[in-house]
Amino acid sequence: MGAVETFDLRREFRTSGLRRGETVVALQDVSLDVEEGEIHGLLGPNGAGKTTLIKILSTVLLPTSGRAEIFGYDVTESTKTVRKLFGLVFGGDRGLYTRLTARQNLDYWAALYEVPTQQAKETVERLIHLVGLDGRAEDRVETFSRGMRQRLHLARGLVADPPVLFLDEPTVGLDPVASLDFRGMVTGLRDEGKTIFIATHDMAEAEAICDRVTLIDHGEILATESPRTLGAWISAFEWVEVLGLDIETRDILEAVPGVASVADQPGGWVRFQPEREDASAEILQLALNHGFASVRTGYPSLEEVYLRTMGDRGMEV
Amino acid sequence: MRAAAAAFRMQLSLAVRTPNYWMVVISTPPQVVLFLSVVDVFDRPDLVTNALMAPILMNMWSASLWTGGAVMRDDRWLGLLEIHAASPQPYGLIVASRVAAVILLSLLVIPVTLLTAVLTYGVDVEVRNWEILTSTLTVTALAIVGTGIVFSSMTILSRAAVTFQAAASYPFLLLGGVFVPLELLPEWVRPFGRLVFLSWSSDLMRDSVTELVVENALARLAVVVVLGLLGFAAGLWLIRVILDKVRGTGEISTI
Amino acid sequence: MTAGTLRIVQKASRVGLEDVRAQYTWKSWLFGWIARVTAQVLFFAAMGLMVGGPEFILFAFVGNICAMAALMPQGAGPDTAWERGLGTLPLLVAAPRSMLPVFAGRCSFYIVQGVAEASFVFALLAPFLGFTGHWWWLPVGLLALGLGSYGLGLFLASINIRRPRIGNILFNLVFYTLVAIAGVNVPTEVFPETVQRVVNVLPMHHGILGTRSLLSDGPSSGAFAELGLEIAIGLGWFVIAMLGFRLFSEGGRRDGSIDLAE
Repeated sequence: MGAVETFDLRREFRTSGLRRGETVVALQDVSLDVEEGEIHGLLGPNGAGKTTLIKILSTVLLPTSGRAEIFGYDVTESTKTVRKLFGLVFGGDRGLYTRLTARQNLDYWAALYEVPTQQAKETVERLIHLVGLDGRAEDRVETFSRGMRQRLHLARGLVADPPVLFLDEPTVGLDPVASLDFRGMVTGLRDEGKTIFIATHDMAEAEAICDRVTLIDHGEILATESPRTLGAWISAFEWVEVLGLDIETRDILEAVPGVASVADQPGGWVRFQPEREDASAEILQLALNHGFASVRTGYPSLEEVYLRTMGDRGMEV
Repeated sequence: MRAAAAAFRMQLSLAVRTPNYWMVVISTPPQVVLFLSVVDVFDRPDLVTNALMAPILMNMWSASLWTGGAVMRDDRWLGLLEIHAASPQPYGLIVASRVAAVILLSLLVIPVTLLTAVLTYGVDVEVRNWEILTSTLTVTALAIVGTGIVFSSMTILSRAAVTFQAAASYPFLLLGGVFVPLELLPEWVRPFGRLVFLSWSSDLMRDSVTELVVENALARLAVVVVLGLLGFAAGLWLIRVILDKVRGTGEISTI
Repeated sequence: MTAGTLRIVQKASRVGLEDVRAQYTWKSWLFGWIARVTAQVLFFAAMGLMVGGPEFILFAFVGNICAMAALMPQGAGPDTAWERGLGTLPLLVAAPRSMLPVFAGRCSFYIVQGVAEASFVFALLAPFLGFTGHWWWLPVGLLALGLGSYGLGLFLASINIRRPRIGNILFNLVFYTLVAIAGVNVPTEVFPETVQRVVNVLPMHHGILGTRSLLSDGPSSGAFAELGLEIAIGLGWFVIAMLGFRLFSEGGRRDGSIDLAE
């Protein structure tokens, strides 16, 4: 039995408005399992169904069909029990009473989660320290930066010391430093034995902290991969752009094995999209050798990775 | 129980820091002056009680309509609707506790009203029957909590929430006979007024000030209790409807 | 006023119109807002069932209708709070022209709305309450009242920008105080001298007197003098509002209370 398991989970929505009555399938027969003590990523673009899945797991939404369990308890039948087993954290700066202080927010939720009074005080202190808000516990949340709110949000999710944490795009809108901090906290929690299910559209984030990553798109599970595979894809599909190429050099670069496509970009740049690891390094080197020093590189977007790996389902599941 | 107490305390903390919550207390003195000036101009000392009861009831009702009504709307705005739904506590209980906190705060209008009356017109009121007065106030406050839950839910379920709130103020105060007793209003209006617990409360409160023995006091109190409980039931049922929409159809959502 | 300012006012009033359109459907307007306003007027007029009889009913009726017309422009205050909430406020401050024309334009629609709604409720209730009088002069009086309150409303708006938290409260306090002392339900003469003097420089008082006169006796120099005074007071507050807006921009820039959207 895994910590979190879903069995053919399906969720449909009836659309209202102009296309009244049409059914949108947000989740299609999703079956996955999250092992106890792992950080499991749910990676997918916007609209893929990540939030819907998290909502079902956190008992906020009912599935149309199928089952989901947390430590063996069905989320729709044993709702009360299940609610004590997880903490829910989502990104952005909502989910907190901004006019109250950090401590007041945590006290409130500690009471709602029936944390024994004496223990609650200690827990709140410990959590404030854990998320690095020691000096700011008595300040109103409305004075907090985005990053601080996110950390408080995490603390709130931990107030009942649940074995499972659901994180929905927790680092969205955070600057790189704050994101790194946050990820550090998350891996720390995993090391303490917590099971963490994190939804994200950020490949680099998924690669950095997850033990396993499930890829989802249009409500369907595509694959479950190790972060190494993800990493390999990222580097395989790292594109290279060169400025002001002449036709000769362009042809040379295009001929590098592993170049999948060449496209003109605005401003005189030409983008070379490889599909093989190390191809981008080669292209770069060649460009520089031929005297073209205006170069830039970038990581592929999730959509691009999907397109190239899932497009023709040419990879192993 | 502990969760309810925590919710109550939390709302008090929130209310104390939110200027809008003090609105009812601040708009009370001018209202007191308004009613007392009318009573004074026509030299009707027998109506002083009416002049004092009116702002008290009006502002308690306003508190439940506007700030009680804001409890769930603010939760939704802050993205806390789903978080509450995912917690082990029944949301209805939490909302009820928080609306109760708002109403408790609104009881401040009573001393403010009395103070204003003393300072402006030197009013000196002698209450003949304290028991009935305090019982009525207590029961009315609880009933107002019930309607506050209804208002709170309506702001989520209804798109025209603001205009609904607008409609729920003076019409109910008129039917509630808070200044002009229901029996002085046209006959056809009275049956509607009797459905509003305010009309029973205002009559009882006025009688308890002027009469030592209040006729049918217990029966009338019971009516307020019953109507109040109906309001509670309606409010809690509406919250159920909201949670069904959140979980079932996904219609109401903030994340 | 330059052509440029006029243009701002014109564009801004369109925003105001759209705001109103967005807020109401005819149903919600009729059964929500109009129902409330009608009930409010009736609530106070009904006092005549206990004191003063039909004469007082009509006195309070006219007074509260006047108050309704004045209520709307004063609502400019909370409106600016909304602007701040929308996050458009810093954009306005950063724009090269003063903010006053913008708010003036946006809230100019309130005057029209106030006159229209108050007249509508009057038409609904007048026959029911047995009003006989020169009712066709009502819109003139209401317009003066609207203009009178407009300046005060903008002044409240300028304060509101500086201290957004108290916007709604301030509006309620000012309005309810005026309703208590400006001659809506009882003549101002019943209040102490000091109160009367204050009321003299605030909107509503003269406008109500002028409107009552117009409705009962028709046009007269006295009536128009009162209405003229009302408009003059409105202008005075408008000037104060201008200063208020200037003060806000400077003050807000100084202490950083204007923040950009996060």
